[in-house]
Amino acid sequence: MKNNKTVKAKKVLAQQANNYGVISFERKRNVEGLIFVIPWIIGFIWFVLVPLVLSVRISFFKTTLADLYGGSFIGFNNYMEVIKNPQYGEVIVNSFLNSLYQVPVVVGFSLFVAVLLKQKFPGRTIFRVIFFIPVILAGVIMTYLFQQDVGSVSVFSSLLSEATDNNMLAMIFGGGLSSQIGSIMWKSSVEILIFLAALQSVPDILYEVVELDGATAWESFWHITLPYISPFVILNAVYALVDSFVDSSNPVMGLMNSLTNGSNGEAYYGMASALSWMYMLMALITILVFVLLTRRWLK
Amino acid sequence: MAQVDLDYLKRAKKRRDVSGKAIAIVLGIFGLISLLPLIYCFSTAFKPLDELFLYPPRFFAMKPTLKNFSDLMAVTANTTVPFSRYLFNTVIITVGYLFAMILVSTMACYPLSKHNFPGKNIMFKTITTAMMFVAAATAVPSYLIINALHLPNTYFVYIIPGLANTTGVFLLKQFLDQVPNEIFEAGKIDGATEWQLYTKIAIPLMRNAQATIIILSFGGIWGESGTAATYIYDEQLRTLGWFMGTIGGGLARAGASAAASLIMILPTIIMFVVQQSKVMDTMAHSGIK
Repeated sequence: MKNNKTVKAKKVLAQQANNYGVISFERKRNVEGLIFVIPWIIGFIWFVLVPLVLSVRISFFKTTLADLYGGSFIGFNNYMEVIKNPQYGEVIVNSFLNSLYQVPVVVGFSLFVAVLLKQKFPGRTIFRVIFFIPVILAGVIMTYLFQQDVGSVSVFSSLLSEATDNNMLAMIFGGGLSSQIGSIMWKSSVEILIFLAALQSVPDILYEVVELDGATAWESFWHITLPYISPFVILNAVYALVDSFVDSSNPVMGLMNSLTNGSNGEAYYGMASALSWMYMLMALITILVFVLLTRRWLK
Repeated sequence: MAQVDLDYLKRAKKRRDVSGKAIAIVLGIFGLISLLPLIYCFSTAFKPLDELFLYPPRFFAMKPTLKNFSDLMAVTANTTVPFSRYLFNTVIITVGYLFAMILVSTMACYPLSKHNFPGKNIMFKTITTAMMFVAAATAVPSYLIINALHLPNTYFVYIIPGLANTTGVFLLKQFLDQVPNEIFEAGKIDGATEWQLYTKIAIPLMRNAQATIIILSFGGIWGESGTAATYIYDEQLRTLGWFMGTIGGGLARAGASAAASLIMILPTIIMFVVQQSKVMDTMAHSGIK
């Protein structure tokens, strides 16, 4: 009621102000606000938006390094070349499937850890810090470690080699799985935080009510926690999906780099742009399908 | 009757204690795996040369040595450009970038959260979508633009292209959304200008979020080497990260390189440990809403 009145009063005031050619206070404030955003917008347009648009253009042209703006329009030829090449197709499909199967693992693992981290237990703060460290160091430390690595032995498998004396450990972590476990844990850290924040937003009173009704912790997880945080499950799934798509260790990213750095004898910018846009499109469609499928469940 | 209740409470407490320990053990195992790369980095820096090339590699150094660090000192003493120059460049770039980035991001997030201007929603959607885009897709056009702006071979090339930080604005906006509008309205009624509202209310309230963004981007800018390799022709303007990367060449310098890696990641870890409570606070807030 009261709200309606104020809205009406505001409208009348704005109308009067317009009649007299006066800029309303509200509008003046919004214009001033816009000024604050301008430096960021300029940077965004120059260094994010314009490059994106240019890369669309390049993907439709036959370009060389010497003449990136020029070249002749060749339509979808760059795209066709990527599709026709059997090697590229295989890499794209493989890394696509890889992303798809990683997402449920990452989401499940991070939900599990977040639920544990929410409980009261000795050393909770320290554990929260430990699980956050990968967020900060992921980029930096991994680069250095890969620089140092002799051959292609990763840190996680090197630990495994130390554990091979112990047959049980080797059986559990056998083969490539051990390095997968490690990298999945490093990928889950942001998701863990999002889940932790979500879990903290569930009102305690709900748990108290079902506890009085005699529900076990297991039941209250399925009937209270999960429905309550379902939007965050989807958010995390989308985040994990995007994360694995743009991960620099992704073979498609390597393919793009090899196309642009001239290691194939020549730098194929057109093809690299075409490849990256096709890949982006695949990612966007996957996310869209996923969001549409889960929308019903959310309500 | 009362006796029974007391027993029940005691048992419940005991159960909680046991499950608390179980949780700590499970998380301890996962946490340890999470920390492995970090521990590996530390132990490698203290490995003697023969252990560095051991196959299969050992996780811990068997005969820890400080020789790698003295090797590193020897390498840094014999450079064409003095080592201190690289360090100076990196410090300047890091401070300059973080300051400018925080200024631009906080300025952008304030109206995004507290004002209504045309195109605001589209802008925020663009930000969230742009977070997903692949850097490799725009590498070439970015190169052209940076050249066209005459940025190469200046300190600005390290700072300016990264200023429009999408993740930073996203986090800051989510954080500022939690601050009630009434605080700003009270300021307005007292006659504060927009600039005063921004500097006196928005900035102090976002301290924690700013600390988080600083930590998130610190590692990247401190270890910067890609830009130095691509856009800088003058040796005098290159960074510590670039220099440390050049050490890695050759068998004899593997030890020095391992020590260099440790030195490069140490500041990031220290920054994080010092500021960790602020970071946890921000991340907890940005997830909600």
